[in-house]
Amino acid sequence: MDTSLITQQNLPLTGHLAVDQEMLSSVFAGCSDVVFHTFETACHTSALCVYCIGLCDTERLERQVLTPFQEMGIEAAQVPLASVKSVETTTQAVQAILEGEALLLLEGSMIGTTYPLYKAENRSTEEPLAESTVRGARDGFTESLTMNMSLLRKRLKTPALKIHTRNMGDRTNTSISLVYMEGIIDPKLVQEVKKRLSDLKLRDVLESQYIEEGIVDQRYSPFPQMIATERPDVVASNLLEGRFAILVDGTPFTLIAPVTIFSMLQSPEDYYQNVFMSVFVRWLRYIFFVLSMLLPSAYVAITTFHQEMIPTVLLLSIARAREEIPFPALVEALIMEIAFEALREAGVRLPKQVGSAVSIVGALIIGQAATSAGIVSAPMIIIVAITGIASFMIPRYAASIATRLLRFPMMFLAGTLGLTGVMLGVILVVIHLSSLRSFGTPYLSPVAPTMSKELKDVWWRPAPRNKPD
Amino acid sequence: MYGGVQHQGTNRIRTIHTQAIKGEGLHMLTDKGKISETQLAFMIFPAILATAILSVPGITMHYAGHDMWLSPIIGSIIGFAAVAISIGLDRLYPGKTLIQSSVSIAGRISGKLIGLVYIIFLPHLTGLIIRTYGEFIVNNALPRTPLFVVMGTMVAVCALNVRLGIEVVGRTSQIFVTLLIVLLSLIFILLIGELNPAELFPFMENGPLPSIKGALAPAAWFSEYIVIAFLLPYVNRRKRTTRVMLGSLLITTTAMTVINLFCLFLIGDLTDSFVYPVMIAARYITIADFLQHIESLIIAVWIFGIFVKISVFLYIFATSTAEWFGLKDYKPVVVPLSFLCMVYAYWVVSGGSGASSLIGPSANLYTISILLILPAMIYGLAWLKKGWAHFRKNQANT
Amino acid sequence: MPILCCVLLSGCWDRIEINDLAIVLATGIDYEDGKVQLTSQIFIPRKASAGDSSGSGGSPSGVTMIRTADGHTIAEALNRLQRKVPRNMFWGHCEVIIISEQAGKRGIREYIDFFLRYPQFREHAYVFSSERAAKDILALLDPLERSSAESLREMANMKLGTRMTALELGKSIEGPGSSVILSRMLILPPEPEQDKLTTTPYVKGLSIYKKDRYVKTVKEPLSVGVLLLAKELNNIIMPVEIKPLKGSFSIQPIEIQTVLKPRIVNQRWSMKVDIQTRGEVVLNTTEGDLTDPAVITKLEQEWSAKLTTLAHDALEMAQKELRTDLFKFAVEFRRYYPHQWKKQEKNWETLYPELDVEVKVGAHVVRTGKSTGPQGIPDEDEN
Repeated sequence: MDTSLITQQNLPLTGHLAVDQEMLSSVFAGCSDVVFHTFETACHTSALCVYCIGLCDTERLERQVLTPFQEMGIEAAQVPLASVKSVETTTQAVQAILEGEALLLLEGSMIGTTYPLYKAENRSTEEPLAESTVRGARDGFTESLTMNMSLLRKRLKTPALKIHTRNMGDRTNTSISLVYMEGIIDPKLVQEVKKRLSDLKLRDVLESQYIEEGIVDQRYSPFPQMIATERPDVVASNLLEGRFAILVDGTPFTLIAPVTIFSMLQSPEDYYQNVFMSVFVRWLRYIFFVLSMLLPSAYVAITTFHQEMIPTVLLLSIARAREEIPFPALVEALIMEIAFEALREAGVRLPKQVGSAVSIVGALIIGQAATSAGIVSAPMIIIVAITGIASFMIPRYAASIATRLLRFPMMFLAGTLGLTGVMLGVILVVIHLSSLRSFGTPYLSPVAPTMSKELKDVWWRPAPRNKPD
Repeated sequence: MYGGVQHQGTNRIRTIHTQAIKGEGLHMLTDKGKISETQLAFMIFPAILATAILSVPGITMHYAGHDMWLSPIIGSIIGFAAVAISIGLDRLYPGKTLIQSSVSIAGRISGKLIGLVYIIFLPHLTGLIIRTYGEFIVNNALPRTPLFVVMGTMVAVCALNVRLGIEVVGRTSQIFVTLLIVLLSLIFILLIGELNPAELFPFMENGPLPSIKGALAPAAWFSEYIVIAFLLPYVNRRKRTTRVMLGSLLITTTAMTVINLFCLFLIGDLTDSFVYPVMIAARYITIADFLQHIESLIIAVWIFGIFVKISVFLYIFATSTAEWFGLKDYKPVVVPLSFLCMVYAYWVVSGGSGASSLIGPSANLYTISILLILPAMIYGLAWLKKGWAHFRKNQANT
Repeated sequence: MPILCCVLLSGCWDRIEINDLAIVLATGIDYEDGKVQLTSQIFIPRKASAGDSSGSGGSPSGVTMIRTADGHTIAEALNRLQRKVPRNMFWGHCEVIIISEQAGKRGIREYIDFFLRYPQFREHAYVFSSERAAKDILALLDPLERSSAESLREMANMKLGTRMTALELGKSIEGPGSSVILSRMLILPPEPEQDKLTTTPYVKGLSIYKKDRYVKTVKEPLSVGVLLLAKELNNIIMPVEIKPLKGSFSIQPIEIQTVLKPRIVNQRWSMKVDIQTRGEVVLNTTEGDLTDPAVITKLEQEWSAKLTTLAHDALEMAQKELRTDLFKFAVEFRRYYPHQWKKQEKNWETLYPELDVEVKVGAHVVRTGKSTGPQGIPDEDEN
């Protein structure tokens, strides 16, 4: 830990107010949001109050701390506030001030008192944009760790919900919380996570991805091994299934692990809707998941290597459509896919008002114009569109990234070896998935290795259990 | 996953997790992983069927005529024997593969000699399988692609699979074999309309002898069940192993018989005049004018099966070699051994006609003798030894 | 990584773009001047505009074209044919094969081997026979369908003649019967103001092959009997007369089942042909009333008799005149009397014409259409 960043020396507080003030102001030199307020108590003792404007609730400070002191002359520890703490060294004092507490030093006292008056500007909870559901709760995590913890605690009103908070990041000193349900989760798993977190040396922690990359089993895999979600109900239900969660201050995205590929393909709404609807949508998702990876490659493979597979009528139409196109099917597919990815990425950056109009009209016009100009053929545009839709169907954005990336090597394989190549690509992907573990859990369970009791959740949506375990 | 489904699963997660990390009592084996019995059954199914599906209908029709569907049933007796020997050996020498137990049974020198036989035979067999795969793909799907590319890509992928451990091999085989079974059944269902069951007659036109003669080829494939003897130590043993293995045998026999029946009902007498009758059957499907000529899909699905088969044999080869040399870990040998198999694949035949002689009667006997008779002798010897030791113990006690 | 790129870039050995393919829709085989003539109907992918102008002709001109080449064998002809076409010939969509009677006379064994061996051909392409040269039929530009191949295929699907695929052709000829029946195609005369080629082929009659050679053309009404016994009768309306009444009833069979039952008794070989059929009356030009059960019974009897006559005529032709087992009796004997069959297999040629064949017909009229009594009779008295 780079202590020089925080405080020069860890000195005990002297009783002399001037000296202490000197020590603290040298640490906070240049921090204009840290206020040093000297005043006289009613007992005519000099007192120093140090606090950070942005983090401290100045109104309450004024009302509940300073005024009683100035007027009523009570003892420092008798201030009617909960959890008053004392500090003895500069490090502790600095830490407390940065946590939003107000530090009170009295002339002659070697112990400072801190009052928890943390109040920072926060976004109120709103529905997460990327994970909205038709039916279900509409609150989402915010950037404040305490608020997020409260959202969880609200749902799991049991002392079994354990929360371990620690700071990570040498320079940013970000608070993170490890959350799990004791009694449900495997204790060895908790040990493992704690070990990994303490082994992790990070300079900065700005988003949960920093931590995720540091603690997962396999960093270089396109498939995510932890879920990042903004929804408290998702976190709650996963905790109840024996998983753990990591909340990071400063980001609404919470990490959940261990996960399997099937968690990636399930949305919380499955449990909020009718059984048959959920099963139907679930199977649709499985099919489209495969499609988003394989459809362009399959199209390229079939039209260039296995033309006898296409129904004659369709073949004749495709032949007619492709007659004027100068590019081979593989190149055409690559052009369209890259264009689509570019459109998608650009669409993220567009301001909301312009975004939807541009994307729809642009895609249509570009598609239409490209076809008329004879650069791409109409069937190819349909394929690319379906692939795009398929990738949007995957509930977890991180998993859809994996399929989008894998599409391209598959297309190359298809263009070289036809369907054989596509199958080889599929085999490679399955091998990779089979060898992937998320904190010890095989990525493909419960299918492989088969855990027959869990299997029902894969192809059906079982009713929530009523009996206590 | 989101609604409070039972957390039994997490207990299972724990078991697998710790077992994978601990690997208790596996100090003699070169791979620390474990698989379940169902995974073993899944691995064996294509190991037998993937190549059999290509040539069995033709050969059995050639010898047995309209009774060709009986041949797999007769041939399964060999499979039964192979399973029995493997399980018996495992009971006598638990936790040891065939290579290791042969040392214990027959003494150091002859045991090592037996191991050597297998180490020489396995690449030969694997090379043959790879070559069959290559020839099939080049003949049916990619005529102008060089054989090296076709075989090389598959061997590379299998080597990767094997290198990652038996667990990965087990899991991939589970997934692919399920897909294989589903898609094959789909094809057969689609073909039901074109079948002519009357082709079952004439029955026993020339007596029972032809079907027995035709059973030699399936028997050779069934004798490949002996791979269980190489893989049982890696299995998470419960009480059900025997039942699962026998169930797998039943399923394989049924599958082979059904394939034979389909070829018979669809193509009839012409079955042995085609090189790959199952392909012809697949090409015949036409549903509502839009689902046509899907044999490329058949080929693609079949690739999954052959992938599992080559991976299984490569795995056995690698671990056996590692055990024979007394290495701690088999992983470093995987890549050089796969090269060796590729070399064998070229060396095994020169030209397609040679390939067909290799599935003739002499080759079948060669396979059966090494895969069945040798283990049978080993097992007999082991049994005698145990019996002898038991007898002497009783003598000492009295 | 570089190795991968090298492999991929130098690769794509089997890649063929769709626009490098000449898609063959139908094949025709003729025989002229001692050479085999192979004709292929190739699809022309002209980029049609979104709304296809239909006009009076129908299909746009030049959707398909034909190319012919000849050679000593069919394989050689195929080779020469490729040289006349600037794209790779793709036979994977060849749905229809037409063999002219000329070519058939010389024997089709060679062609069967070719179709079942050359990898790209489809085993369930339909095989037809044609009276004139096959290439004349292939050159037609069908006004209704996309190509004449398409119309032929649809006709085979509808079972207007016999439905014979290449695989079945092979089975029939290699089987114990050694014979095959093919639909015979003629060309419909074009409409007066149409182009000579804008017309359709149609089925008229059957071509009979014995031991892979074409021997005879069979026309109606004999062809009906032949199809009846060969279990291929699908599209027929039969007129049946009842003696005292003037006019006739026309019956359309809904279902016809022909079952062959072989029997060997005391070294005498015989075959019982059991035909069961159910039909619907579609036309009544007599004054008979179909609600009268007596009328129906009489009708059924006459119909049975007619079918029996047809069957007998067909058998007569097959047994006595052609001495060819057209209806696969041999297969049935082999199935149910394998031992005797093995002994007598070589004598089948002499055995077959002497075979006792008994024809039993069960005909039932189950429906009378939308009306009951006869319609359209002027000045009808209501009783």
